[in-house]
Amino acid sequence: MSHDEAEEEVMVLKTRTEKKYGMVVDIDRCSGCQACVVACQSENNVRINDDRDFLQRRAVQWIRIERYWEGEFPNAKARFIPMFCQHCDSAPCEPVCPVYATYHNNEGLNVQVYNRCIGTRFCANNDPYNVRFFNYWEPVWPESLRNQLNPDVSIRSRGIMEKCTFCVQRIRRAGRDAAKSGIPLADGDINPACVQACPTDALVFGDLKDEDSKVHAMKNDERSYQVLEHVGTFPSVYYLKKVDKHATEEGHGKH
Amino acid sequence: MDLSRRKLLKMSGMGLGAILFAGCAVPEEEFIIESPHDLPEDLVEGTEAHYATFVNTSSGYESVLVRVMQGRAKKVEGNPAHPTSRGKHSARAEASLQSLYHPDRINGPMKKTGGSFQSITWDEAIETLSTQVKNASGNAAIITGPDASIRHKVVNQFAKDHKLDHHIFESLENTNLMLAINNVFGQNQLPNFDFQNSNYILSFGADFLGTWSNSVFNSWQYGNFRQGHSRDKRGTLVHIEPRLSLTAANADEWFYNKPGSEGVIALTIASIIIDEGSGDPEASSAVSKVLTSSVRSSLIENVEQKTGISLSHIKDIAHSITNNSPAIIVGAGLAGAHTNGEENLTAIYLLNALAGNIGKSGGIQFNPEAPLTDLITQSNTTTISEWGDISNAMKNGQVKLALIHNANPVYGLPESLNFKNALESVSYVVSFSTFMDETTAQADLILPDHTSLESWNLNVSKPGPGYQTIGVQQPIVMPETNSADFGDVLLTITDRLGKKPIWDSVKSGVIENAKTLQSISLNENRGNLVTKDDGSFDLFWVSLLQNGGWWDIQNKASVEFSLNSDVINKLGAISDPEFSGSSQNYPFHLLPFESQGIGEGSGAHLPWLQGIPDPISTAVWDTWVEINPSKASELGLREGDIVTIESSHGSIDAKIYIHPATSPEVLSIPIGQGHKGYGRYATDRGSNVLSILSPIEEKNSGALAWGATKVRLTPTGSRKRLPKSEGAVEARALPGFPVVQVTNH
Repeated sequence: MSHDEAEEEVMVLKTRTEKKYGMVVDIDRCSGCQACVVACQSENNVRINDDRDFLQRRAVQWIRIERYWEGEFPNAKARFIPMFCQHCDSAPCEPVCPVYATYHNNEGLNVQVYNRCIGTRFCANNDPYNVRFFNYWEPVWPESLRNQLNPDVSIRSRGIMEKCTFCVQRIRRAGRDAAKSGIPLADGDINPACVQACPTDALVFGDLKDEDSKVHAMKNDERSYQVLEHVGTFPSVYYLKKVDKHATEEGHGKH
Repeated sequence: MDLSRRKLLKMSGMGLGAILFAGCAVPEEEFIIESPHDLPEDLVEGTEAHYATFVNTSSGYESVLVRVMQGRAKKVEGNPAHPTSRGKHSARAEASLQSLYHPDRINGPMKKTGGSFQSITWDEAIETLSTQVKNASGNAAIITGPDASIRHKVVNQFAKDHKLDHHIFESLENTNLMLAINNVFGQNQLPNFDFQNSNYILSFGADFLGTWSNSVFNSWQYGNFRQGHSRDKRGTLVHIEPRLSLTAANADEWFYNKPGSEGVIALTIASIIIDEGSGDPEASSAVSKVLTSSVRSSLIENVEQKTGISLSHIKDIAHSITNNSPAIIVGAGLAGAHTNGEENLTAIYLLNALAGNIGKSGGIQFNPEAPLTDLITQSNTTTISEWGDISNAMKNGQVKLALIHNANPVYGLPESLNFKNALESVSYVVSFSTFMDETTAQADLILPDHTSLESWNLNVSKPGPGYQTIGVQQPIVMPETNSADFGDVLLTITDRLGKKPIWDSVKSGVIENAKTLQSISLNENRGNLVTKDDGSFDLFWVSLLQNGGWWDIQNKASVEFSLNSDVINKLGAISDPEFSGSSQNYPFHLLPFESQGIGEGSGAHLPWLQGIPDPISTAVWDTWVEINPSKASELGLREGDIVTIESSHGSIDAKIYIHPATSPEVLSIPIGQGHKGYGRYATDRGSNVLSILSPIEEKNSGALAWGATKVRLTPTGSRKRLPKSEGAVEARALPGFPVVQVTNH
């Protein structure tokens, strides 16, 4: 399939959906403070990552801050970018799942059905953003810490894959509240935990199909780009470039 | 078209099956399989409630909303109503949930008998403490952390009533900073730095986005400083520090300076501004009395050799300050952590006067005093020189009783003071800690305090937003363990000893002050809260609790300000920094830094905070030493090599991390690990860099010059991997398509 054909197919997909939730990340605002990381872990019952998890490269962080180095002392620079599931319209992780545990829902979310997942890990293998996490062990919390767990979010057992859901439980709750009260959802009513926490307002969430939404305006900013857009994944996440008046080339560094 | 099961059955029953089947071909009308939890008929939704309160983190009070379901706290979120919170919160605030539900919380009052702790009742605990306080009157001390709340008033009053010395412990003390703020602005509390309306920020070691001051409010302002919608152009941030802190990494330009030379840089910038006549005329003429033309030219001539930053760069900075008005100049952290720390910071803050930004939008805005006299907003941190005296007094048996709350001096003071031994010489030690930290392990009696989410308090933000702001902390869950409010315990003891306590409980203190606030709101018609003319308290009280506090945007501090000539006179000859340890034996400057997650160690017991990757190195759960890449290869070191870092006052082991932004002259080590206790997540993990600091003092204030220790490095020969997130998982960038993209306009 050529790129154009793929785009066309994605456009068809897009027109079929009622909403298309997406995020815009202004990396010129992001300070790398990690508030989003802990907010996400708290909201989504993400397991406690101890040092062994990190040593074995099995730490689960639905959102993480990637740090890229550029240059050497005294001209060294560190740049930050929040990385999480991009909820791609043409998600490489979706077609490889043999049991349809991951699929695209009608709100543009790339959804993981935990009780369908059999843990082949094909999706993580195919995911260019490295934002899918496999549960190598049963998650354990000391009894008292379980009091904090969010009852709206299921705990993932050993042997299955998990990832950022754009806090689908908040989207659902907001939808139900709107239905109950009769007041339609407005732009900004739904915020995933990371967006809510972000002290610099670097993360903005909303319906990309709503032309009056903040994300819709921001994604057309001249600094807008998408990570690995040339791969043809058609992500729902847009990034706004870091501004550095001393920058000589576009983008640099290693993680 | 969404079809739930019931709708489908209904429609089929109505004979619409044919239409349904016809619809199958059209994508819009295909069956959408819904997962069972989506069936509205079957769904039983948990009820949630949000309560406004405050959490006390190692970086100060944060106003939050806590989501509570079935009596359990589930999630911390920033309070959108509060002026310094704006709906945002830090990782540390979030982790207060883990503090509340921590598995290693002390379950109730305990007494040490025969070397081990035995549970006792609260009656017995209070009785024991009352007797101790009564007998030790005049020979007792109470040690607390820094605080700005009415609970602090309770402590002050208790110390006064029962003749206790009150010491305030802070491992990275702010003494020099507060002195400098007082020297330059004549203020007793930090002003509001109006970053969001500023065009240019020059920061000397102030990690205002990471670990210094109210980082959440600062970060919110920073976001707008960069890309605020109402701005004409993006603000520029320049950071000067010997280490690449989080703020340095976010700066447009970061300059490495020789440790302790910050004051010289500031004075050179001042000289250039005065020479060019581009600064505030009044301030320029005041400062030029001391910075005479000969002093100025000598500063400019020697700046490069003294500070390691080229004159052309310093000229650029000086020009930027005056061309990009309003500009803010801020200093803290390492800039004040030297033997000349007070001078450095005074010179730095003086630049604000030359920039003419005081009291202006986008500049320095003083914070007014709170309208409640019960709110103690200022408290002087006990300096390292005073801790030396206290240690000696303890060792000499002059201290019979020590009460310790929200402070861990056994961990946080340099080992050379030997505070552990000193505390052993105290006949009776009482700890109010919620956790078994190093200091509490030495206690004879433990009376565990509530956590933030279980207690009442009234506080002020530090720093405030430039107008009167008062926060209310309320318990949002029932106490999880058999703990009791520290303030209430002190009030009960006072009562037991036959004195009249200021309040029955901290809660009644909160209510009493809320009534004062109500009368201010009513009589002066100000504040954010609803008041009824009939003066009924209930409505005011509820709206106070709902909003999380009271504030009055109109009530700003007076901007009257004049430079103190005595202070300026002292700046003529800024002294050279002194270091402990000769350059020959100890070739590296040791730069300890506060961890983004666990702070100065008080967050080490919380697994979320341990698991936050350090923003720069991405390392977690461990202690590492950051070293320059060329230096490392010269010494044959690789990442993970365990090395011994030795100062003239002790040594620790740490793992090497090769850090491209580190100068060959320095080694940086994060503070916070190396606990000997403090729960399962903190114990025996990494090393405590604070322990090897030389007790070298700032020469005027006696504060610990924690950036003035020099060290040497010796490989131990062993190696272990450093847990970190770098290189573990990352977006798989292809050549030519970087993940982080940068534009120069």
